[in-house]
Amino acid sequence: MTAGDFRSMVEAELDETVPPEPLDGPAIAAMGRRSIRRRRLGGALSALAALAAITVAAGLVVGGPGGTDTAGDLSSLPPKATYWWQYGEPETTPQSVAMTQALWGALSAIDGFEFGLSGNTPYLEPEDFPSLHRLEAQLWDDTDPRHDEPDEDRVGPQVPVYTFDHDIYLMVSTPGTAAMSLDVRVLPSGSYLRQPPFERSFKDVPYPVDPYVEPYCVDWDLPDVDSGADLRVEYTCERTALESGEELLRAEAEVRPGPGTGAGAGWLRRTVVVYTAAGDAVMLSGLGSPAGPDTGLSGSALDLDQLTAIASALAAVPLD
Amino acid sequence: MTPERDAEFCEYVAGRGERLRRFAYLCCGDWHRAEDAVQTALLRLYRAWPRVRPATVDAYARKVVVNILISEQRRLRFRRERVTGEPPEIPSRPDGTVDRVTLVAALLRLRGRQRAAIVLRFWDDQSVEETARILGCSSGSVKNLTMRGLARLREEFADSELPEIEGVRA
Repeated sequence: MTAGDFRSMVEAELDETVPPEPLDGPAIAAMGRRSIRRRRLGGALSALAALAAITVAAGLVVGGPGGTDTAGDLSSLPPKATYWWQYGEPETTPQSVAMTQALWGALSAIDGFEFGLSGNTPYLEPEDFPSLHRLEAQLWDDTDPRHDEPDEDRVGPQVPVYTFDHDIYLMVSTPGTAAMSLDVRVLPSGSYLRQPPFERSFKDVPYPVDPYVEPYCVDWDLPDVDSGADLRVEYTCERTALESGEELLRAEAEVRPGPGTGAGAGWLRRTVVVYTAAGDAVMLSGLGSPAGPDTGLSGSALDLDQLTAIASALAAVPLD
Repeated sequence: MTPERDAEFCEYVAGRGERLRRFAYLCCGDWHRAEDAVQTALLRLYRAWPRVRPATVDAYARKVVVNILISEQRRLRFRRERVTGEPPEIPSRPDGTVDRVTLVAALLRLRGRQRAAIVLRFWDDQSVEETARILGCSSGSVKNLTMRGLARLREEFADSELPEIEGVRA
């Protein structure tokens, strides 16, 4: 018996039982499009999920730090609506190539630097993904999430952003530290808000348009809705005006769940933003685990100095 | 995705989706579960479509199907539903006579990873290395799974019905 005979026998038996329901490619593609939209919206929510919602309430508690909006278009949008960015196909441009080189040059300078990818990507080769791309981003109104093709909901603006390919986070590790997922975005002037324009209780906030590139930097406690326990959020932030006309924000937020939350030792987010003199923003955001006896870790890969070096290297590449 | 890539994806589903559905069925023994797993896998494939290489798209899709079915099995265990390592008994015919033991029914009696290894190697014609990649194990494990699976299949069949597959020794 050959493997071919084996195959033929199996196929013949399957032919007798297979339900005659062919897969509907266009229907699956339509579901895929909706799924991508939801993931992008969900990404905006989940990336900010704990900290973003948390910062809302923090803003309420303290009245907010009064951050400056750089994007007039975005800040004037009705905050009760929900928006999402539609990203076009990733393109390779001279700027994206230069940014990729700057990114990997800075990462490679870190002792023991290693990387991987998050997500289910076993068949992607390393050379396929660790590069920044230019994506055309178009803002949409998503007031009706059931709406399949929101062609009528376009509200603008349309701007290029530079980031990794869709849905990819770079997992960075160094010897003796916990891996850190790293998100990198380069945002042109007018395409972002420094902080969200929250004015209400976080329960009422429908997540207005992102990206917001800064945390609020105010310590506070948030009751965990599910467990009833508290999350303690502690910030360390530092804002510096550079002689070059650039502005630098370095922030670290440590979230420590209270007992009973089931959230383990908590998590740590380090954010570095470089605002260029032209008003563009380079944002690096790393999510990892806090150091300490609970985690048995000496810390997460990439400290603020290392993130700053990477952000500065990216900021040196002019946008088109 | 662009309309062109959408069209490519639809073409792939039209051309390869049925085989993927059969693969899923051979892995789980339930057409409904197979349909669900394939649909979920194709959704993931759609999201990854711009990044997946044509040469590896089939293997990628199978990997996702296997992962989905394994995750589903774990969830079922977690929910303490009755899950056994064995498929249901082969149903009797209404007239009371007993069905012959078919090759597919025998395959479905194998343990999950043995079954997946056999299906990938001999139904899907994958190499040992590619099978290992899809199952997330070593080549040695694939050979082991294959040998044990074939031995178990032979127990189900009379030797005359399932002689050795050429090139594979029990």
